[in-house]
Amino acid sequence: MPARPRCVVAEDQYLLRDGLTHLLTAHGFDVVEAVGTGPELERALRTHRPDVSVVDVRMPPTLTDEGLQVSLAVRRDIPGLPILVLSQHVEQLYARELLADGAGAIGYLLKDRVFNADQFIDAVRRVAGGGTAMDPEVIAKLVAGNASDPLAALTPREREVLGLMAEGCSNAAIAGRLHFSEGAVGKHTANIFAKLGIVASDDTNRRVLAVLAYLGSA
Amino acid sequence: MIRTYLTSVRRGFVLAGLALVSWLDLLLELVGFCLLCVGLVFAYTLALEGTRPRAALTRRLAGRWCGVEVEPPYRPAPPEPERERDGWYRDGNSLFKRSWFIKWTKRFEWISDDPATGRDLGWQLWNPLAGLVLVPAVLLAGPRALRLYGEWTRWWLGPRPARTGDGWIKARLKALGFQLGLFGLSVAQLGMAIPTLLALIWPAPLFPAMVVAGRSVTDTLRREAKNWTGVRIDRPYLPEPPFPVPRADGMYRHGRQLYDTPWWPARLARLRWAMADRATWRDLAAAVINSVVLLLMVVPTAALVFGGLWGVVALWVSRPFGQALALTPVALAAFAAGLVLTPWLARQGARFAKLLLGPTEASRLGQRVERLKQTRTDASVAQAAELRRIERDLHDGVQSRLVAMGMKLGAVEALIDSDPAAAKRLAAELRRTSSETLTELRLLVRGIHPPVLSERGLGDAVRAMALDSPLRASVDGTLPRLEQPAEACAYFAVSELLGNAAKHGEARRVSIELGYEDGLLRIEVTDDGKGGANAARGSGIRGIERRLGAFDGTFALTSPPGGPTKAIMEIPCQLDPDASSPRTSTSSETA
Repeated sequence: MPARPRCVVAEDQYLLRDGLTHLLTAHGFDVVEAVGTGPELERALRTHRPDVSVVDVRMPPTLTDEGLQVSLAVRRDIPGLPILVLSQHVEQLYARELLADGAGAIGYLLKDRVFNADQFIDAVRRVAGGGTAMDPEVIAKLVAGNASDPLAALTPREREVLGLMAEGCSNAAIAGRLHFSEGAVGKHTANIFAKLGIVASDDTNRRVLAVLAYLGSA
Repeated sequence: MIRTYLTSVRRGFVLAGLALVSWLDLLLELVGFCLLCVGLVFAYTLALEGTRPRAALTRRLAGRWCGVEVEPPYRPAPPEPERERDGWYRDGNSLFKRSWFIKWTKRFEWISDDPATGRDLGWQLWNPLAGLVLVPAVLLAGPRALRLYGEWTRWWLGPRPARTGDGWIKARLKALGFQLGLFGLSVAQLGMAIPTLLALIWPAPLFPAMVVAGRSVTDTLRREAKNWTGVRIDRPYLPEPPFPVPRADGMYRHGRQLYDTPWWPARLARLRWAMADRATWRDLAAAVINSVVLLLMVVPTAALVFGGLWGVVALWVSRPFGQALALTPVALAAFAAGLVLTPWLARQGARFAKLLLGPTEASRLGQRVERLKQTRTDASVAQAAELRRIERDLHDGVQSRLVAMGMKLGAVEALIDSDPAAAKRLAAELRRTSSETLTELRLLVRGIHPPVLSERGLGDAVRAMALDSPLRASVDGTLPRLEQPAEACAYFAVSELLGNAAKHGEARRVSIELGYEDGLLRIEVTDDGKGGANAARGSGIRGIERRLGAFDGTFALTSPPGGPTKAIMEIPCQLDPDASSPRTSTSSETA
């Protein structure tokens, strides 16, 4: 990730678009373009190929899931283009679609998370760095629902770690949240990878795979 | 050798003695039947149940002495009636304060419907004769006679595989009975029609009551035509007039006349309703015409069948042998010809009856208007309730939180210079409140119109719902974008069904099938719960019916106790004209 990552913002409401642009600029991002519709976003993503983009789901012209569709379409042509999707509501269905290509560098957050600027910027940076940022609400719904079969082998603690991993936390962040050492987290993650049969070498990629298993679509 | 013989002789005599008792049982049942005829249902049931121990004893002895094991063939007894939560016992649409009536009717149905009961009766009739034969037989043949008696017992008292359907002759004899039945009902209708017409001369106010009474007979004919021949005849009648409503000054109006009480206007409105309905006159005409036509239809078949049978008997009784032998095939052919014709004629008769008894275009429209009125009222009532709920949620939740936030902002303003630390703490609180408010709004919006529904349409919205459900739900099928109101209606109906399956049905898996064809949206929801869902009991299910009713949709629920529960919804609707692009999703996944 460059020191001043280039960034595209897509949001149809002027106030929020402006706010996001200011927020990102203030935290050292270079906002190369701020757009308000689906077709504009598609053009901007393809011409700039930004280091990261922050995209609203619902935008003109259809005011449905324009942002999501454009993100998916562009990432099909440019795999792994980092995109953080913002929405007024989160759905497991959309989370699966975003994660399905397994390329990582994807985020899916509620718009409310913008309130906490530090956490939000952290999430943007994580996505720019090839990681994932899933909204805790998506994860909470998953935990409330039926855990799919491959996860049955995990201990409750390991499932907790995997949940945080799915949100996109690094080992250090997980250790901070669960109040134990980073080494212990490493041991847990290694166990998780082993139990889920994930043997890829690159750690980031392995984490994405684990999250996919967690979402039941791996 | 001698010992075995003597033992078998002794056993044969005991069995023969036991056999004689069954005539006493038969007598007991006859008494029970007579009591049944005067209305004492339980006497017959008790008599039938009371003779079963003798049959059971014979079965046991057949197993022990004759070496032939006989299993009891009876159906399991019905369960005790269960008291509902409101303290009443329910049977169909009738409520009872105490359980005994339901209990005895159920037991009566159980014991009289069981084919094994009929065989018991036959056994009781013939078994004493078999016993009489058994005495000399066992003296002559010893244990072998006992063995034969055991086989005889098993034939009567053992289980037999249930027969599926009727035989060729029985089915056709039944059809002849149906022909006669339809003719009989038509004559009964005629019997009602004549006094109805006379009432028109005098006393005219009785005319509507007579018409309604006559219609119940005609309705029986319609119903049985469907049951017997499969020809469906819908009711054609216009809806009854509403009870008169007083004007502002408290008077009741009929035409140009005002009345103090609603008595006359109500009478007159009913009289006009009965006279103006063309179905009334069509019914009267049908009573005459159908009686003649159905008679003409039933005479040939009845003549052939009964004539053929009677011919065979008469030939062999009164004619010389040669002539009887020669003419028997002719009589049998007539019998068979009558039987071959009768099912077809029964159906044709019902079809003919439909011409006059079925609905006309006008009555169909009248009924449709009535139904639309009903569903429109339901829909507007439901919508008003929904709006009230939204108003309450906004008022109690979001609005009061915003007020609180405004007050805290005021405090922050006041504190920001004097006590920056406290102001900072308040600001953090404010942020928390604002995000809580947003969460609440999100839930509210989801209840009004789920965002996925407008973004992706019904197919993906149901998939998203299945993912969020605590059940293992699978969704199959593809849907185009449909009219938004229909989509929303179907979405909330599925949501209600999923909720029910998880809450009351104790289900673990649910499968949802979606399909759209020829303007009809069809959704099938099947779960593996304990079943027993009932439209009459669950208000949720009635809510679904009401929702679907507003779209002329239908809802069919089958939920036998023990499951599985299957709900099928069908909603006629159009493709969404505003859909930007016909997005369909083809995936099928399991949550």
